[in-house]
Amino acid sequence: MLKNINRNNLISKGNDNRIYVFLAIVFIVLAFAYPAFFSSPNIKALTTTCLLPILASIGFTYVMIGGNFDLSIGSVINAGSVVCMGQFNQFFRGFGGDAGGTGALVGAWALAFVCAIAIGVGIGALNGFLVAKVKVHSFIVTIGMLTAVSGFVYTYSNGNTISVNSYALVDVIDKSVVSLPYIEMITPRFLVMVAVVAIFEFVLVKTRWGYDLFMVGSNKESAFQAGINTEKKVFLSFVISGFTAAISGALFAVSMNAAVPNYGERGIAPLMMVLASTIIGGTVMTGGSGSVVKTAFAVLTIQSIFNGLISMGMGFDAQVLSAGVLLGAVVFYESFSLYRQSLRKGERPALLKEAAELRRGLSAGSGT
Amino acid sequence: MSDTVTELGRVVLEMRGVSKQFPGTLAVDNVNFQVKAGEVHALMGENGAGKSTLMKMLAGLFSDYTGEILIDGEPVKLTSPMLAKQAGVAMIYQELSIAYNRSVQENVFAGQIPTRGKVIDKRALRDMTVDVLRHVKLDGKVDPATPMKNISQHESQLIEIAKALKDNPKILVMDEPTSALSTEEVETMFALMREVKSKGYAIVYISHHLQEVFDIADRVTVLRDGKLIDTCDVKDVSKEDLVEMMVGQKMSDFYKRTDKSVGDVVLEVEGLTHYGFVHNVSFQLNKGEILGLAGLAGAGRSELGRVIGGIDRMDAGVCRIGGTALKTKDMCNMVRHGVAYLTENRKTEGLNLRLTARENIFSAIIPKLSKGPVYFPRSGEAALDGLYESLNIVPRDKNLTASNFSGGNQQKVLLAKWMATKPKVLILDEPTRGVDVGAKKLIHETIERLASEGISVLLISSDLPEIVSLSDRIIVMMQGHLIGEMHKEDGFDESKVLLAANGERSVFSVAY
Amino acid sequence: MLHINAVDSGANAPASIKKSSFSTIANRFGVFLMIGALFIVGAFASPQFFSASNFLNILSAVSILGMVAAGVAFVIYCGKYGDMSVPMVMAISGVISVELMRYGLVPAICGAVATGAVIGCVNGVVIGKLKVNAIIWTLAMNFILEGLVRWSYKGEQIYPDMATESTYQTGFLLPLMHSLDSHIMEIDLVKRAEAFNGLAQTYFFGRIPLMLVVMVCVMAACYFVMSKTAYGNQLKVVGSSYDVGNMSGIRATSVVMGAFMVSSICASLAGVFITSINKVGAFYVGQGYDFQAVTAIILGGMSLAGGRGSIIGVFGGVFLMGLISNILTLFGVGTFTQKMISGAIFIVVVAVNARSLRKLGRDDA
Repeated sequence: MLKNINRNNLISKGNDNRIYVFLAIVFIVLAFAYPAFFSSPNIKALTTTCLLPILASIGFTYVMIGGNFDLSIGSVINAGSVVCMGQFNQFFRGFGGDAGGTGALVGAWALAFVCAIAIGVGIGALNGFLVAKVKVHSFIVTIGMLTAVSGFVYTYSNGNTISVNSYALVDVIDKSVVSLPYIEMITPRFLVMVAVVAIFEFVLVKTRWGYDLFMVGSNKESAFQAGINTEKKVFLSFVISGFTAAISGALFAVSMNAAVPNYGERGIAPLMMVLASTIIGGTVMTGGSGSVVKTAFAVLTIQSIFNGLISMGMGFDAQVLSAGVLLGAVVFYESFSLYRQSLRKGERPALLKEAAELRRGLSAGSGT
Repeated sequence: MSDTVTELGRVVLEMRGVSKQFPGTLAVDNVNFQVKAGEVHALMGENGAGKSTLMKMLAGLFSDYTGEILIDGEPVKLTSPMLAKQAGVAMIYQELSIAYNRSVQENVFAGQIPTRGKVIDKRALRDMTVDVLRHVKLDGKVDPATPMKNISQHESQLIEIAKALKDNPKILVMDEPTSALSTEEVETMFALMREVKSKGYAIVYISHHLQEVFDIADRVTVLRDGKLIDTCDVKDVSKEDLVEMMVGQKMSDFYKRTDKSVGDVVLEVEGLTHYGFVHNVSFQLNKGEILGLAGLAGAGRSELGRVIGGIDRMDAGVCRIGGTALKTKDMCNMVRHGVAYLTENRKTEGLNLRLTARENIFSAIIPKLSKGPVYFPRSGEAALDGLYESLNIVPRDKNLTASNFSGGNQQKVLLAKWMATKPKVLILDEPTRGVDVGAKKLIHETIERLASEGISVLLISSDLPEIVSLSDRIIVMMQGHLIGEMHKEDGFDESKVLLAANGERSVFSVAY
Repeated sequence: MLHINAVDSGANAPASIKKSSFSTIANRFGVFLMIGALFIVGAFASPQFFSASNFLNILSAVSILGMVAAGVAFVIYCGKYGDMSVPMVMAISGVISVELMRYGLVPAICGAVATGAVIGCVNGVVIGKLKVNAIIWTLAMNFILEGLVRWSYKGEQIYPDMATESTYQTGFLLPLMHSLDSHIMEIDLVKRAEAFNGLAQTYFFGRIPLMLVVMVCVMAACYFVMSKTAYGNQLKVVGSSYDVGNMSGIRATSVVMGAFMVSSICASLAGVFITSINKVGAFYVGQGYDFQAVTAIILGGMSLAGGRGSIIGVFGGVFLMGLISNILTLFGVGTFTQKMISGAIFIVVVAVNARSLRKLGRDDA
């Protein structure tokens, strides 16, 4: 019996940490197939591509742990980026433009980021209110929000790319802290990402708030009985989702020096990246289990695969296919094991043992 | 947690003249109930005797009971689960509220995770959990960080008890805690209960297992029809006394079944096995016969019914209808061959509460009411009228949503749904659970009439008078096995059936 | 007040029977009340609003959406929230029809529909049998299909009249067709391409577009299947409660599978037409139709809880979306703002409806 439990534990522990196995396999394969993979410039390029999806998937992971979905994430990323760029242009002009010097720049960027974050948090709060308080299904709420926000983004940007003329900030945030090989990927933007991931992972696994969120996602009824304010937890998870999506969009736009209203429409949809990495990273689809760090590593895994595919001369098409197949396989595996589990609900172990003995006896009998 | 909660032998809980009225019935009728510290107090009675209602009252689930409840001599009003918890009542239900994704420690301390400053104190959490698990002797056996999904059912139950003990309750209520456990596991559970009571906790133990009551309980209180029959020391009574107290002397004559001859074999089950649930069951069901299937909770009766009905898979064995072996695990096929299984879970598996009565009754015969792919509900209207008439479903509105019917009429609608399929074999799983007296009588009459029309009925029921008065023959299951058969000509009554379900072999006509 | 979800009551007290029948009416006709209100607004917006040509415009604009929504309605009716693989089913059917159109229109359409049926079948088996969350699975399916289409065409688009040697190196069936049939290069592609592109430009009586007729036919067929057939009624039972359906002798898995197949088949038809409009097959042609279809269906009074609502309501929802956009255009509101407004209307309607349901004590939104 104990042995059995140990085996189950090992299996579930292995499954919980599957992302590290995936990552190791991908690294090993790429190390052989693509020697330049571990070169310093490639590592830097790889890290850069991870930044947007990692930040955006933090909030998505939170929402999913709480037992909901946030399909509006793609629109919120776009909203964060166009608002940040658009507002910077306005504030910068307001502060006197180039004549305003560094002060104008800093002030304009700060205000622009505040606006972008405010938009994200506002959208998240509205989502959260409708899901937690009004009790509309999160799928419906966020699908509506997706349409409305993407309409807002197009209206705000007039359907055009918004670019800024100042390269000051991008020079700062994407400049390597130490220009040495292999650590040159450490830029201020990278540090911001690491810090945000660390903070949100800390909240999740080190504070009571995080534990309560897990409980809400895992079994809402028993969480409620334990005196946990389930509505507040769900509400805040959506707010966090809006926050991280907006900030990731804003940071991405800054490094591109431009914001487009339809990022990912012709490439890889942010929703796909985020959904795939959250689920492949081990967040349970029904909620109650998951980790921001594992999601981040899942993003790294997927981006590494992409990186390898690009090195073999393949484009977005092969990338989308690989990520889709990986996501499909993981979803299928998870559901299949849940299905198997559900069949065994309520069975009596004593009877199983007896049946096993009987079968052994039968096969021994037929053998002689 | 202190070692001795209350001085042993002191009255911890006293319920004085408590009553609870449900529409149509007085579920608990002026009951006096006392529990002392340091005792295991068994609460017995047939289904519907009022045990659960009494305990729900204690758990604070009703706000409109009458009478007085005193805990430790203090009068308390238990009108909400929160108040009951604060007053020191801990309930351990069979259906556990477990967050399967989370670890043992998180489940035990849900909402009360210890922190140091703002940060979770993982070591404290672990130590506290080990402390709590020590009460149920699971410290060292179960790692507090194990996810609940990897914990066996038996251990989950123990953990649930540990969780309840953590809040330092005065009274622990356990509702059929052993129904899904193996013999050794029951022993562990009893050892634990003995230890817990020695610390001064009062345990209320609800069970149908007579032997277990004699093994573990100090005193026993028997309820019948909502009334208190007696409270006595277990050592002063015998099994037969208890059975008599539970069953009473009443004659179940108001639906006395007229004896009649039965025909050929219709359903033949041979070596039916569903691993882990039902094991090597063989029996025959004759035309026009009502075959009772008795057993305690967790004996595998419903599971057997579900396998024959085609809902759960059959791992081994044969199931023949009229001589032809059928492919089970395809309910559609079974229904077509005339097997109908009426579920015990009316509200979740039986009726579609949001659909109308008509839609519900037709739901199993949609293909029969169709010509090719096109559905003609009108063609079933005459049959529907007949069913409404014969079952006296009230109100007559066929477009009324099922949820708007009373419990009894919902059950009639469910019965009508399966009668509409014109079955040869009708498996009825608790056909009168939670229905009023009038509906019960009508359902019983209907079952009899169906049998006299040549339908074979497999009647699964925990209602002893029902199974005794309706059945031509009774087969008994225990722990997934068929253990014996009782024939009408050898005479069976409620006490004998109850003893048989508890594994008493002497009462069988044929013991396996 | 617009009631979206409940057709009838889930409340226990018989006292609510009267209330529920009111909500039944409000719900069944709620979308048409809204359409009526918009008619009045439209009348003020422009004198041309109440003209036959304007109404034809509105309907033609939503005919693709109508085909998709009619199919997705089956999925929602079945209690499975939505089919997010619709955009790529449209795309993949589009490119397959372009590939096959060199053998004629009928094979092209049949091939597209067959592709849709296969995809729907896979979705249905996985979701019905394993009870996967339908949204996640169909999203994953959408990504897989997107990868397939883009990979097969190396990210290129496919034009019906493209006939160079290199065209036959990529695609799903083209290389195969090329190797099997040496005369394939001799087919007069220009003529075939004209016929294919002409699908979207075919008019009856000179003004009623073929697409619109097809949409109405699809709606009518779906209405018939959902309301008048044995399958539709089994779908209703399974949709309102999967467990009850499963325990009523209905093969619930097959029923769910059927719903996803209908959804994919309808999306395939829509895919053929939208490809014909665009005169190009590409992976992005169906973008946004998943969300729009769900919006139209929910506005049309179908409940996410399953087993509620009707295709007539869905038609109303589709028409309503066309109407909103038409009126906003008449008021001179740009397409971007229109999107924002329709999203906002959707959220408000859903929220108000959920609130009113909760007040009635029925929490099934």
